Amino acid sequence: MRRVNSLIWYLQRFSGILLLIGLGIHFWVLHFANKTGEYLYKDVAERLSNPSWKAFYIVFLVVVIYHAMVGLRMVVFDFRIPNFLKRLFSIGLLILGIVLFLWGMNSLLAVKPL
Amino acid sequence: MKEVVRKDMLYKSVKFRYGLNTGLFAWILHRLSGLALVLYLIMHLTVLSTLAKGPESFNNLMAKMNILIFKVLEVGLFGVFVYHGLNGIRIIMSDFGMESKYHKGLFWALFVLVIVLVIVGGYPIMKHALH
Repeated sequence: MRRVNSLIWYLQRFSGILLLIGLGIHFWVLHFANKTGEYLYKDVAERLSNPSWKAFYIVFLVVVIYHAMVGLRMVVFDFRIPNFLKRLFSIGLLILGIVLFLWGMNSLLAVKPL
Repeated sequence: MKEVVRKDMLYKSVKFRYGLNTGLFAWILHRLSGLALVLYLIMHLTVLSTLAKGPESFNNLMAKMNILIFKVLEVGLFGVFVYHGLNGIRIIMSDFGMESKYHKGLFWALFVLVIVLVIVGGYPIMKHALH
């Protein structure tokens, strides 16, 4: 268990760095490169028709959900709670993470080029 | 001469030691900003789920959100993200023993950098709403 916790700890740091880079790119595309200030379906569709962008957003989704779920786990584990509740909470977060991933993927894959 | 330690003085010194210092302030802000970002993630996925309902549904929602108050909230969100991200780097540096000597100064430098980045990054968000 100690090894798993150590791996989770390292991955949380690594995913944080990836997110800084990913969110920077996402922010640049949406706000700096966007000349009209509007968010339109056709722009999203155009971006996602490129396999590299699609891959970027899938990886981004996985990383952001991982970081968020482990972050929530850290906040709750700061409190003194019994081990069985910790385990239960971790399982709940794993399920929530999977649901959020499937939800996000459903939106990503539903976008069709116009 | 024997030093007398009064209980109330001891309490005061302990209270002072566990008061709101820079490290605790940074830690609380990191936790709160993280919780805010998780909440935003769920809201963002909810908004993006309209993509699955087709172009009209997505464009209509985006048009409704293209107002000043949402732009201000977006700048606020950007600030929360920048703080969380930069403080995260500070935490990583601290984890690997790279900033222990200057951690207070580094935190306040980070705070100033967050304000600068919010101004620089907030401008492109706000300019379309203001014109």
